[in-house]
Amino acid sequence: MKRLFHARSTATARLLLLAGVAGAATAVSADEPTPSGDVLTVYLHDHGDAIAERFTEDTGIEAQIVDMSGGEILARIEAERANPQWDVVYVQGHGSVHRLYETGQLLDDGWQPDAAENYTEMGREIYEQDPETAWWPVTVNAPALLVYNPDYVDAEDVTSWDALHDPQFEGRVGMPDPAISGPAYPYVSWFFEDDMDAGYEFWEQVFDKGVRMYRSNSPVAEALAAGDIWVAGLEEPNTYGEVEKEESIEVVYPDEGTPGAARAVGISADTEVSDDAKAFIEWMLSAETQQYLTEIEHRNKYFVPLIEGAEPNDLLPPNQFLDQVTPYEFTDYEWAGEVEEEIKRWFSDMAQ
Amino acid sequence: MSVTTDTRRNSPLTGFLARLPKPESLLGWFIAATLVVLVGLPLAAILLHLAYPQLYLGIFDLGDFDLFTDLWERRLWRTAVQNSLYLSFGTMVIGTFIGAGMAYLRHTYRFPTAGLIDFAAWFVLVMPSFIIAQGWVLFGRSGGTAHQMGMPWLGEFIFSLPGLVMVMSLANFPLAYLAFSAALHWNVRSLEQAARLAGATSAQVVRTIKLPLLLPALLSAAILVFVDTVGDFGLPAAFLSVFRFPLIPYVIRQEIQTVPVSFEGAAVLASVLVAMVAIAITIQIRLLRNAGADFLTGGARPVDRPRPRFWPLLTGLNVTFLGLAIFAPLGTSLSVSFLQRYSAGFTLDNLTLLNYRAVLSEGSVLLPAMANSFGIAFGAALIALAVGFLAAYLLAYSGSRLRRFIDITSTVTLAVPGIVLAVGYILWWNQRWLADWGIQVYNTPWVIVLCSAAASIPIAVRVVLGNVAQVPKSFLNSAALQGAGLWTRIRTVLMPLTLAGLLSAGLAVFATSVFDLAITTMLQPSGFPTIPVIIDEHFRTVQYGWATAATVIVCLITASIIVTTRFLVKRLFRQYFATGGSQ
Repeated sequence: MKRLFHARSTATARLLLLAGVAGAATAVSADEPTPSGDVLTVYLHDHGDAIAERFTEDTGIEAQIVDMSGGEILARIEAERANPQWDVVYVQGHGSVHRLYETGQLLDDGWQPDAAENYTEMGREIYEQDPETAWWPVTVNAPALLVYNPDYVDAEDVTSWDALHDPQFEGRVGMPDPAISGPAYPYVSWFFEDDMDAGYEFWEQVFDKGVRMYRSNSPVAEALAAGDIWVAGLEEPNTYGEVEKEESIEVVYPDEGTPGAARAVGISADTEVSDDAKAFIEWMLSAETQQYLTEIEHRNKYFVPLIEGAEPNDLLPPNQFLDQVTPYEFTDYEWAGEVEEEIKRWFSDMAQ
Repeated sequence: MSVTTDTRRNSPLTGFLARLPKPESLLGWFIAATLVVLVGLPLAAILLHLAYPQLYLGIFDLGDFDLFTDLWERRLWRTAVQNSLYLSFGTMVIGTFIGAGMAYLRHTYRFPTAGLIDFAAWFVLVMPSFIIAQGWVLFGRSGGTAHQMGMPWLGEFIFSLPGLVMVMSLANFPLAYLAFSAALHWNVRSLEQAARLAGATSAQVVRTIKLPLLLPALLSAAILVFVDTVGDFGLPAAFLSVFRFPLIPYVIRQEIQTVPVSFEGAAVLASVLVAMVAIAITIQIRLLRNAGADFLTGGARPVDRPRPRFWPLLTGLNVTFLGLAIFAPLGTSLSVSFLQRYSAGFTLDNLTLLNYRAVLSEGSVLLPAMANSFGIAFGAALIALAVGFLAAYLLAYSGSRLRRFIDITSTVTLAVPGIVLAVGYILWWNQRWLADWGIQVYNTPWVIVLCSAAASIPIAVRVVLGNVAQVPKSFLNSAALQGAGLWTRIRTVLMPLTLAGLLSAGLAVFATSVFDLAITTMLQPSGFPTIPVIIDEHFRTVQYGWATAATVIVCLITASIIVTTRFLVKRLFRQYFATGGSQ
């Protein structure tokens, strides 16, 4: 009985302790609504902790990372527009980041990072389209590769993106929700770029064949490996992750091409720590950091560096496009930003 | 009138003090102001955003109210409203049937395992819906428990409208069970016997005595199930990872937390949701006006239950039911927490403790999240309890002019689902002019604490009021005659006598706030992990082992906190519990 009582007392003490800890955190946040010069708030998707620790170690600047899905980050930025709480955004889909720039939400004081001089050819292809803009590509990948499960599907039946509405795969095609998943928007919008009507027609056919829409890429990958779905458009890092786990997944590179998008970084127009934010950009675009990001134990270790002096890691599976200058077909980002709301709204209404 | 008072009558100080508002009046104003800040302003902000959609950008352009036509023109919204109605009505019927049926069997017959129903009802009632829903998703999805048990059809059934109705009914049956149990608790046998003595047939007894007595409770139970289902956020959030079934609460979140952001869209859907719940609650209040049933305080007391000949049938039925209601969702979560690879199934060489090690390891996000969530729940419980207790005092004893306002505000909040209140909190607290004044509540943990407290105040008021009403006003009057001031009366008379109710209300608010996914997911400050959001996030990214292990650990810790607190309070204040309340 004594022992039992002791255990219960400990639990109560823990409760009080926990409450105290949370109370302390509350007081700090309440007093410091915006970064006070020593904490940089970065909104990003994935590899958050690895970045924060290393950045602080390298620069001495404390960083607070807010790690959410790409779509959620963009929505949070929009929701906070009246009173922004972030200093730096780093998110998949340079079209979406460009939209922030176009709507005046990014710091645009003419500053350009020194590291921009060191972009690789692939990096320059995006950066030099408009070197005056106040956002910078950090890495690139395919927001969607065409993939299938060979246990259920023959290779010759999946040769083009039309497989997504092939009647023989009816009800067995999956995709992430563009409203929620960051990479899904550059993926779906790629089909609208040449002709909006053709884009609507393509996706209408996909919906007619009962496409299954998931919250994000992880459940799409899982459903594909489990055989719930047979064909999908799946983000590159997720695909490589499944390949590394030796799941039944094959990748197809159709003749029409594979969409490509950059993860881009920008600074809030309302930041009070712009020097720290600029230091963060320089740091992200240094060859050492880019190399480091290919080595961390994380889903996004399949990181394609865009800065000279950093090399992709060996984990990237054989990819015939990686040897070329431009393995992906990049969307016109200005156009992608302009039609983002229209396309996303259409998808959310269609996906019922 | 004491001598002391007489001698002071003429002093200038006494004159000044006499002109000051009475403490009771001050208390009334204080509670009313608190309710305005916690509930009134956020709800007013939603209404304002309906009129001025770009208010959050400081633009005062009147909206054209066309958005309400989107309710039938936009496919997503139309489907969400339809689905919410189908699911809620379906669950109302099936959930009430199950709950009332189980209550009838439990209180009419004696059979082995009958006592487990009470345990199951309370257990499922306090479990957050998104945890139950996650268990069902893992149970039903391909390669899940249903497939492994050779019942893949059951898995497919779950991801359909009838399946969701079943899942929701099994999650919400306790409301109907407890409400109906309270009604069955009435000793109607004496009335029946009286009627029979007066010559009534058994059919007449059922028609004129049993049914009229039970019908309000049955309908009221049904409405409770409806209200809880229509405003639930946890189920759509958990099911969305495998099954797209838009419901109003999740679409509200989507309007605000995905691009394109639409505060006015969220406000329109929020008002539709509030209207549905408000209609239901108005009906319930009318039904209960003369019924006097109170499921929160009415513990069923079975008397003279016979053991029928068909008791093995009842036991079998009960065990099957308990297996479905508890084992299917929660047993699945528990078993998945020990699996190395979910897809490999429940085999010996797939068993592992690695998930628990990962969840509890140094650097795991669960530990700071627990500190944050328990801190939030503790703060919310304290605030809700303080406001609830003082409001209950005013409602029960005072003649304050603000009594009616306090009564209405604390009741109206019942009709506001957590997700809607959270929308109001974003709209109200995330404004530049407030930040310029140095008031930064949005993006701090305080916003969750305040919103959770506001959402819990109606529950706190109701539970505490039940206890306060049992303390005769004469007790307080006697204390006043002895010269005890307001605070002394509350502290020395009312609090000890209602300690049991306060404890129940505090622990109920604490438990629900720890796991409130709707409020925390909307209001979580940056860099401030909380339990429901990180569990949901791991579930969403298919890290089932981690998500289920974290769920098991947090549930165990929460349960131990509740049990320990209850034990300690009862032990420390034993004398109050001996005479005090309805526990």
